[in-house]
Amino acid sequence: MITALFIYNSKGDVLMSKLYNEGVKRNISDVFRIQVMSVNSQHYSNGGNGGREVRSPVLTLGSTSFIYIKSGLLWICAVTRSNQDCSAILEFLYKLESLLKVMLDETPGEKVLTEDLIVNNFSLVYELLDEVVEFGYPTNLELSYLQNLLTSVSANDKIFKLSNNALAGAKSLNSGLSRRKTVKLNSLNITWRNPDIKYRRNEIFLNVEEKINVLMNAQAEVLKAYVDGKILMKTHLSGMPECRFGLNDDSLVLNSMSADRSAIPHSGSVTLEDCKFHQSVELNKFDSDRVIQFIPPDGEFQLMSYNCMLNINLPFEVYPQVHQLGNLRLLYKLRIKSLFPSKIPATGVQIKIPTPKGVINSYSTNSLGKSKYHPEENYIIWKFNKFFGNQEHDLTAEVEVPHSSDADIKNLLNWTRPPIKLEFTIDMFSCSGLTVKFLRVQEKSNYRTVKWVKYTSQSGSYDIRY
Amino acid sequence: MSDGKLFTKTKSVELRTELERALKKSKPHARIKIVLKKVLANIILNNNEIIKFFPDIISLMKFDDFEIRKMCFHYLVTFSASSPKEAHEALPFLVRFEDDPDPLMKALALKTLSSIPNKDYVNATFNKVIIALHFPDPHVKKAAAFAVSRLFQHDRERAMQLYLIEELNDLLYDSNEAVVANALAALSYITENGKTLALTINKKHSLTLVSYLGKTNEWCQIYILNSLMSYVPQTTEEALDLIESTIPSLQHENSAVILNAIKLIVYFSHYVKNPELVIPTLSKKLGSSLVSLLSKPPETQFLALRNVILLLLGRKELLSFDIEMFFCRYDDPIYIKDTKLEIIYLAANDQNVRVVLRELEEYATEVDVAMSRKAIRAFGNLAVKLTAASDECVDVICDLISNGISYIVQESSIVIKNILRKYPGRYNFAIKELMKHYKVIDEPEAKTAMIWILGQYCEHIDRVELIMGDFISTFKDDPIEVQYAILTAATKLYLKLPEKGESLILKVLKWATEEVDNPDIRDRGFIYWRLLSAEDANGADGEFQANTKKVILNSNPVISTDSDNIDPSILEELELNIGTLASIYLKPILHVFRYAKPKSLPYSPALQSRHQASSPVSANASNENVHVANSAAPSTDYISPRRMSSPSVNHSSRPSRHLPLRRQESDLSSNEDSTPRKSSFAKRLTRQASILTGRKNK
Repeated sequence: MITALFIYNSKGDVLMSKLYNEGVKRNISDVFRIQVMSVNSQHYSNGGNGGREVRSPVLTLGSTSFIYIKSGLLWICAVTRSNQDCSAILEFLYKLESLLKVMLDETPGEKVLTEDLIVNNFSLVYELLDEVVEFGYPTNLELSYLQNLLTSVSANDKIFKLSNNALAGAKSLNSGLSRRKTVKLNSLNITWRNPDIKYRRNEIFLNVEEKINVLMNAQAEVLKAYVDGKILMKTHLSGMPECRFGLNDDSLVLNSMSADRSAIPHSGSVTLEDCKFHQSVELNKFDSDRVIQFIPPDGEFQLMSYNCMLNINLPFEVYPQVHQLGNLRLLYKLRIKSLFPSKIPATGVQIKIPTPKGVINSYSTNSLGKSKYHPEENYIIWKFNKFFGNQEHDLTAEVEVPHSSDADIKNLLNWTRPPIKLEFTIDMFSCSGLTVKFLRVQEKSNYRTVKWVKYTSQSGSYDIRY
Repeated sequence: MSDGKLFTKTKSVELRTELERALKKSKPHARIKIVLKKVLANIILNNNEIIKFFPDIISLMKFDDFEIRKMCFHYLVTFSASSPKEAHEALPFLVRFEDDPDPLMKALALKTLSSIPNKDYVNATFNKVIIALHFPDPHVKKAAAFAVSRLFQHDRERAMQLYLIEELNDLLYDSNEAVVANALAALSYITENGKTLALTINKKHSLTLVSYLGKTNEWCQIYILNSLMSYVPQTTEEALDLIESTIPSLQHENSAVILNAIKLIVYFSHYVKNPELVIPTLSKKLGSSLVSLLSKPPETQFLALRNVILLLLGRKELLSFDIEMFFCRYDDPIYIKDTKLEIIYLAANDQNVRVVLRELEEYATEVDVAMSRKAIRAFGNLAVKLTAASDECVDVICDLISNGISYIVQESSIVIKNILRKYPGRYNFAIKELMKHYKVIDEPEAKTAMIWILGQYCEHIDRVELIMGDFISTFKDDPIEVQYAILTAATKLYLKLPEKGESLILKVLKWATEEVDNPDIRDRGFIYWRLLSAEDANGADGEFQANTKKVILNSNPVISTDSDNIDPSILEELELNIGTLASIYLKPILHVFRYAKPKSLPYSPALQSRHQASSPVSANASNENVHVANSAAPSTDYISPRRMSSPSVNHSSRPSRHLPLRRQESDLSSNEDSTPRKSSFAKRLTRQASILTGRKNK
């Protein structure tokens, strides 16, 4: 499947190389550098539409294909021969990227792979690449599985800090015997969890994170709206706990399950277009009894992701009016209305109102918040510290473009009017209406578990045309 | 401690001195490891000089330390092939380690042994592998499974003689699901590369495999799903059961699991009559799982989108989704926007066309010139595809033209040409609008289209001779395709409006026959000239150039979008390869990957014949143009999947990467439809012959 894997820095130096199979030589890395990386950077320097625009995720030369992703400034590239499963390789590259982030990052807050991180841990990364893929086939990228196999990490290294006391305990008996035992158990069915994890305090954190994407026209009619949601979990649980999980019981409709497309769900129900689960979830159980049952991996993971298009609780409505005054001036009148419960505040609310290029004069007034013209981005940005529910605010603004030549006047006429963009975060509010009704944890030692549930709704692309 | 400072190229001499110093210490392990890390850095940096370090590596193998041994193995795997003599000395160590009771050590040694292609290593691996396949520890079994596929790579015949593949097959009945899945992965390599070998799975085993799906990790699920492709359902019920049990995998978080599940479902659907009716939710489920992949990173989105196109072309009935989900986002990379536009075009129908048009209009007025051009193309193609929507499309295009923006006018002229050919006489008002802005046109393709319109519709255009004169003035500098168009159009103009066209045609024919170097242009010029000046050019009743008109003023065959269809057999093979690299290129697999193993639907009593079987192809063939000039079938230009300007660069057919992409791709496509063309060529010949003889007889 994968014949070789390379990691490059932005200049094209090889930071990591691993050959999985015969068929290519190590210097195939030069081909990728010349054919893809230099081509892309050329476009950068030519001031084209930026490197991103000319990029294509796959390059095939003869029978050899390069499948690659960018991570920060680094490039991760898999080389394959003949026709291979591109989906599996892409998925592998992304999983590898996030695995490297977790394993190498000293400061868990900022998650970017850098050249230094790879180089400073090159022997660990090489060993990792040797273990996660067998003969070109990805086999297991679970942290808990790898911990027992990697030797380049000493017991006091950061990975073990990260996966905290429980695992460090198991690891400190680093004799061949204990290792053999854990591996044996691990290579049984549950590859994502170590059976001998212990916590003094058993906790489970559950975050429902939603990104709402909306496209509205000037009349605040919704042209397109959907919610990309995910449920993230952080578990600190001992043993092999079995979790069961329930969402809005009966009002939850899975759209893809019902044949009748035209059936309109009653208001208040949550209709998920689709949901995807972590590998630990027993899918056939969900399919038959609609129960989400799983033995979670230790630490943080994404339990499920879902899409929702119907019955969305829109948090904001924006009514824009943009008038052209003569040839040179534009008048903006904007009203924004919040539709969520009045006790909840939205934070980081920011409205980006596009203006034509080269504005010379601008003024704006508003009923709350701060608004300012940012010439470098061609936006008027209207910011709020806190925006409570059930409120309405207005902004009036005017901009003027210089009248020097005909081209400029044309500029205003042919100004492309990119959409107004809205950004916000609302805690304890779910745009889809999805709620967690119950969460049960069962383990044979029958301990008590502390459970935390949190909801966050964020703007994805919240665009308003005018 | 950070390894960063060890990551440099080093000479083996330096490494050796450092190692000797380390070995003098009483506890050398830590220092040895540092030396070995430097060795590893040189492997990564591709420094072949350290091959001279081989003897030292062998001396280090006697240390009883897992980490040291592991690093030595990395070295062995890298350099053994190029220095077999030294490598031979390391062999006894590896053989000994392979007998280690620790399964980790055993598995690692086996992996190393089998990874080295030297004769002596291969022999040793053959001796060890069978026992390892029966070793109780799953870790060792896994390593042994992959060792078999490596042996197959090194020495295919011997691996077959020793029945290793049968041994590997037995692993499929192992009690540990992970072992089974890894054995499947190893077997898939073997079947993929052994031309005569195929995985065969019986019914009972297929059910066992399906039951493993929920219990193994994501990668294993991929291999299981993929291997189920080798099971041939014998009855419709069986196929249905298998589809039902694959459906849960559509909800997996891993996109490769989803795409492999889709591949499997599409495959089994061939063995069920109207599967979308038997399982009414099926199309919805497939649609929504593909749509859900749009929340993944762009590369994965792109792959999913390409597969949506594939399914839209071949198995539309299996896919249902809201077209809005494929609307472009402001910040999509260009290759995603392109692919989404293609999907919007393919999925547009009479029900959703209103929404689609509104959205396309939005794109057409965008800043991004490339995007806006593509949107206009899409308008034109939709007008040709959906008769009911054509009025609206033409209205929008006229609206856009009226702004007089150069690239919009140019693109519009190309699509209007197509629309005029599909609906002759219906949209003459569009010509008027277009002619107002003829001055901005300077690109060859747009020029060619414009000139064709001028020739074809000259009687409806005011001041046609002035406009034509303007285009003609640059004749000598124009590219060949424009020159051809001018020749033909000027001739038509003269035939239809002799007073207006006379001075123009004389100028053009003179240039073409006397000043242009290209022999084809000259010949064309002479042909027209002779036709026009032939003795019996005028009709028997003295009508002006009646016989010439008969030759030149043919009505063009009406164009259609049938050419959207790819040959069903190509689609069929692509469907068996959903999610693979070939699904990105959407071309016959052997054209892209010469060594790929061909796949086809195996026969079983339940196999359904494809309903659209071969009819579109023959229809397409008979639509081939009879007319010689201006003959590029326009509708294939942008949307036809064969010529799609796919953003993925593919060089399989030619090494030079400086050629424009589209050219390259259409070259490739010319092979694939050579068969239908051949048959139509014969037809064309006879038809043309009959025109000629018909004239002679008169």
